[in-house]
Amino acid sequence: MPVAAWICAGVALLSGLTWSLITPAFHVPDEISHFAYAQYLAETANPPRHVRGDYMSEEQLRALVGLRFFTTIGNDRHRPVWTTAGERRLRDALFGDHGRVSDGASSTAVNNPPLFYALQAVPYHAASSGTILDRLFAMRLVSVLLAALAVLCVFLFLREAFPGTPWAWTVGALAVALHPLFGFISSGVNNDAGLFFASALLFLTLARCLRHGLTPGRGVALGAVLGLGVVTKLTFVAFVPAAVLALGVMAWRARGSDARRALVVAGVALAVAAVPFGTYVALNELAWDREVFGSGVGAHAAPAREDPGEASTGGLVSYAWQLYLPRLPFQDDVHAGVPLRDLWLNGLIGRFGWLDYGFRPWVYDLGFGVALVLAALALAGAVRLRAMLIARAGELAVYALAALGLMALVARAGYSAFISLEFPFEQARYLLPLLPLYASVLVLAARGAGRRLERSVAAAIVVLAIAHMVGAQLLTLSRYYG
Amino acid sequence: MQVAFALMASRVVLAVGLVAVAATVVALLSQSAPRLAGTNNVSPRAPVAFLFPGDVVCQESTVPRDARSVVLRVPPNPERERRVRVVVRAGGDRTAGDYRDPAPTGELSVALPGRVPAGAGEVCVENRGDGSLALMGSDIDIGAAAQRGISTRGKLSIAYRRGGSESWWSVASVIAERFELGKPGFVGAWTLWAALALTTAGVALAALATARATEEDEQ
Repeated sequence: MPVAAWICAGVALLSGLTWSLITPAFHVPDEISHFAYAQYLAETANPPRHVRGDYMSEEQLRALVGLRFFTTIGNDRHRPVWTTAGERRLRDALFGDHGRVSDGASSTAVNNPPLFYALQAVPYHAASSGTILDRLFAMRLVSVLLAALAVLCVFLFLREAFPGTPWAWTVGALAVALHPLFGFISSGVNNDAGLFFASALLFLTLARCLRHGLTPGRGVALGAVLGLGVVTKLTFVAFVPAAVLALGVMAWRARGSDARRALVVAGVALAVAAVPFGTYVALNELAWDREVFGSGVGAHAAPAREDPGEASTGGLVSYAWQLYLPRLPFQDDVHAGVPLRDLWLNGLIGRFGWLDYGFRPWVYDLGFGVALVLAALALAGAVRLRAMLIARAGELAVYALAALGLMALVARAGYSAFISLEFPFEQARYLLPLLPLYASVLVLAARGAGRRLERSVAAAIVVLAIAHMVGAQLLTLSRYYG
Repeated sequence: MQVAFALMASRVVLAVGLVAVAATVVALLSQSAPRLAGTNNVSPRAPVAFLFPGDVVCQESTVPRDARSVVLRVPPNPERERRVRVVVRAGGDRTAGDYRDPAPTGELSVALPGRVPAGAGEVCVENRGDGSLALMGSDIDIGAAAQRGISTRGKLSIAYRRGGSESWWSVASVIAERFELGKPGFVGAWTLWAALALTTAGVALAALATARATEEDEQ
């Protein structure tokens, strides 16, 4: 393992630790639900269910009130506890004898499989003698560790994607390690941290299989990653078609004498993948009395619309198209603004907290300009490397299908929310499982600058990433403490 | 020759870029502006108190010890002059400040002279103008304002500012004190500096890794 890989992971660790310290308790999106899930699982050894009742323990609710959480989120002029009087009230809540077990009822996290939360039970119990804030911080450290491992996987993926270009591995991995939205989300108790790691590991595994061949060991690894990813967050099912395509590509490559062996290994991979998910389904049915998909992948606990619309295939296609591409003249305008820029690009540049603060408008304008330049350079890089890309068309098709699968799943969930709920569903972080591809595009951009300038552009990319991270962390400090 | 140029150019980009980032950070942190001392986290969603000339409304409030002005919210109107007296009481002490200006942005910032009492207390607002005065807040009955003569429900939006204009450097120690509140037990004011040290270490590590990487020969 190259030293640079560990350094990149170390950068992610340091960034994540900083985010975990500067972000007030529960101010990572949906952290209240994810913590509640983990607490219920840790205390009762059962995951919560789709039932009515309190999903938060009395302890958590009292802590949130003491933290001024409910009056701070959603308004960037509001602040958490700033006074000693407020701190005294909080301490009264933290050290009071309040129950740690809720009703285990529905929340935004209830659809999630329990693997990430089972992992979080370890730090929860390790810090059980401390306050809820101590336990939350200990659990945040696990998320930070997963982020570091994700960056390690991104580095190794780039090593497969761009063999012979070592600087590319470091630059791409650092761009991910320093990405503020990635660092911010991964610093909280949120199973997206598990998803980011699992997806980075999947991309690495796919790359290793496609580049070096499908051995029994790699087949089992692919199946294991696929299976464990699905029981980390159901969103991971978006990558199943890509994994199946990868197995198909490898079987095709092995046509002839090795075809039968390749098909057997592919079958083993899929069987291994089915074990964790099958176990999860069985446990839901036999032990937990729990639905697997509940109200669907990416379900949203927002208020229902009084006049829900009628779903249609045409409506879904139009919605999905406009979510990522410019609206066509004959399409009804279903999204506010231009999602490609307003939602995805600006969101990836940074909307933090519970989407209640961000940069000044000029930062997003600057980011748009930088994105255009990088996109043009990436295109130039693709042209420069076209021979390599064409030779690896099968591999690229797998990655493209992975991206399309995720985008389609997000669009599907978003359409469902559009029809039936008051609030939009999509957030930029839902595309962060594609960070290995993001890093690859940045490497292509550097390569697009030509031999003389590619390393300079690579250095510029890292400098921009540093500026982005530092700016976001200072913004966060000013939002909560300034 | 081409490789040497590429290496030199990448080092220059890295060095110049990092200096530019550092200079920008220093410049941003040096900008002065009025700084917040506290807020009751009540959004100015709607008028919740309507004061005729001479009317007074009072509301409980925790006054921060570094407060030097009270900020109230009114419907924005660049034409009308507002005349207001604000009395702040806490811990047996009181101070009062007057405001006499239009409020084009809807913000009334009333300077509090002398020593401002801190802690759990009360803010009273008197309309000293000739016309009515609407005060903004949230129409939620989580702590009703007590008003002499006219009943209301809802809570006034009240914020406090520190004195004058300050750079972020000037308020760094205050931010460090706020940073340790609402945190795990091991956190103290030192933790902010530790967090900044972690970020600095991360930046240094990233820069070193980039410098090393861009020097490596391609395989």
